[in-house]
Amino acid sequence: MADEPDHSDEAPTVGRREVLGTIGFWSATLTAGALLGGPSARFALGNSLEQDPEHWVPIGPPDKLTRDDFTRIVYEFRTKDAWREVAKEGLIYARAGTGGEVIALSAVCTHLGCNVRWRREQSRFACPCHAGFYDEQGNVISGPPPRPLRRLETRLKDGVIEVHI
Amino acid sequence: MSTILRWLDDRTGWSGPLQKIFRYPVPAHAHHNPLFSMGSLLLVLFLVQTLTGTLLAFYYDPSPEGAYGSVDYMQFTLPFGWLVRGVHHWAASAMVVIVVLHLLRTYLYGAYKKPRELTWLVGVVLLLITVTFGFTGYLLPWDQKGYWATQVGTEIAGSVPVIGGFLRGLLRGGDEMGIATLTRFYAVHMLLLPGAFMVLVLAHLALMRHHGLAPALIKRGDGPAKTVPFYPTHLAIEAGIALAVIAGLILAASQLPAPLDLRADPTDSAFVPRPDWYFLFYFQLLTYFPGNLEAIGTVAIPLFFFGSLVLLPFVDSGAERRPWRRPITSGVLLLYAAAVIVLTILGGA
Repeated sequence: MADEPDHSDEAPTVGRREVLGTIGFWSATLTAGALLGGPSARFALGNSLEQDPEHWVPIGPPDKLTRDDFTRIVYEFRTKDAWREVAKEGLIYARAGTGGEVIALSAVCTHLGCNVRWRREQSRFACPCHAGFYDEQGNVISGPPPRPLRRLETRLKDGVIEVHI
Repeated sequence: MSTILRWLDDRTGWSGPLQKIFRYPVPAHAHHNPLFSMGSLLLVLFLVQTLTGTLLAFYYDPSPEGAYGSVDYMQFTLPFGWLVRGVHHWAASAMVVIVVLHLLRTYLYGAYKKPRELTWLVGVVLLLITVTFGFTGYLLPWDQKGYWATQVGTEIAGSVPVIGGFLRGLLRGGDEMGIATLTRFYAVHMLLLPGAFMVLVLAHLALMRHHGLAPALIKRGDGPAKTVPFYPTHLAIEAGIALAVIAGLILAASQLPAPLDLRADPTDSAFVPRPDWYFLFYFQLLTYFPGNLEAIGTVAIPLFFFGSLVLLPFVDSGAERRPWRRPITSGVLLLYAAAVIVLTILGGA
């Protein structure tokens, strides 16, 4: 037994190289991943979590609206969208209230964002996408919408009605 | 974890091919020489370009009206835009440097010789694609530099005898530079070239693994050549080199931001267009061939240059690989290198 060559310190040397290699490879790879990954994720996120700035948009003089029916109004305003100056458009329904106030409802269905239609003969708003229905106040009558239509703040400025978008 | 891996392996059989790829024995002469890591470094740089390029495409607006504004927005408004665009810019330059080092190593070690001729040829096409990435990339910000470099570049295509007009129109998507030029350069830069690059890199790697690395120039000892496993021993070295290069790119991006010139102005007569440094030699070469001789500089010399790279394995087909025993091929290499260096210096002056 004493004549046999002693390999006791050779085998661990190979093992040590493999362990060092594994540690070296993964530390370098993970460091490089973190160096690029963190900033990349923040860049990709961009302004995704920021709210759009709010706007007061003119929709016309008060005599444009009546008490007995909703008027379909397409509004437009210019704004900066990321790097471009663009014209943004949207749809609202508005009418004069019994006390002289303005009732302005966003046309965006609170279910999945389709535009609702005003059905005068049924006195209700109908969403064409998933059969959601709202009453004249914008409250949900039936279907999947979870909330009433958004009622927009209004004001009179220089004889023109403005809605808060 | 091991149960999930076993389940996946039972259904995909991936452990066999993975073992083959990662337990590949790397010859000791390649393991100890960083020049042999240039190929994998190029692959890492390509992945860096894919990542940063994809991120840039999140915001890039490929129209003459929107391109400049979107690049300006990325560079100066978005968080880390300077880093993403800077790394993309400097990694493009790094790819050119590393691809040349990779080619020089292969050339000097005679690694293009039988049976590795096809590996070399695929590499030459990859070199062309790398340069084309640069050419198509710098039009995209639609700034003065990109606009005028592309104007000159497409006119060069127009100087090709017989089919020049057709080529220029094809590159521009019309008679003049405009929307169609920008959108086709964008499509080529971010779809066509990366797709072709990936396919050819896979072919290049498959051929490299099929034939193995060329043996050492000088054999030491009588026994079989010493090897180390690709993973983890050799990959640790390559990952270390890649990490150093990535850190260098981030440092470069922070100290020398990617340039963004003024918005492209086709009516400007004062702007002097200068290409990126890796095209300067070609830019300078064109100054020597006026008038009727123009096609010699624009077409004949580049064709001869790339043609000689293509024909190299078939012209220098002897078994001798040591560069000092191949005086003609080594001399030609020195001549080419000297010409490119001198022209680059003159072009930059």
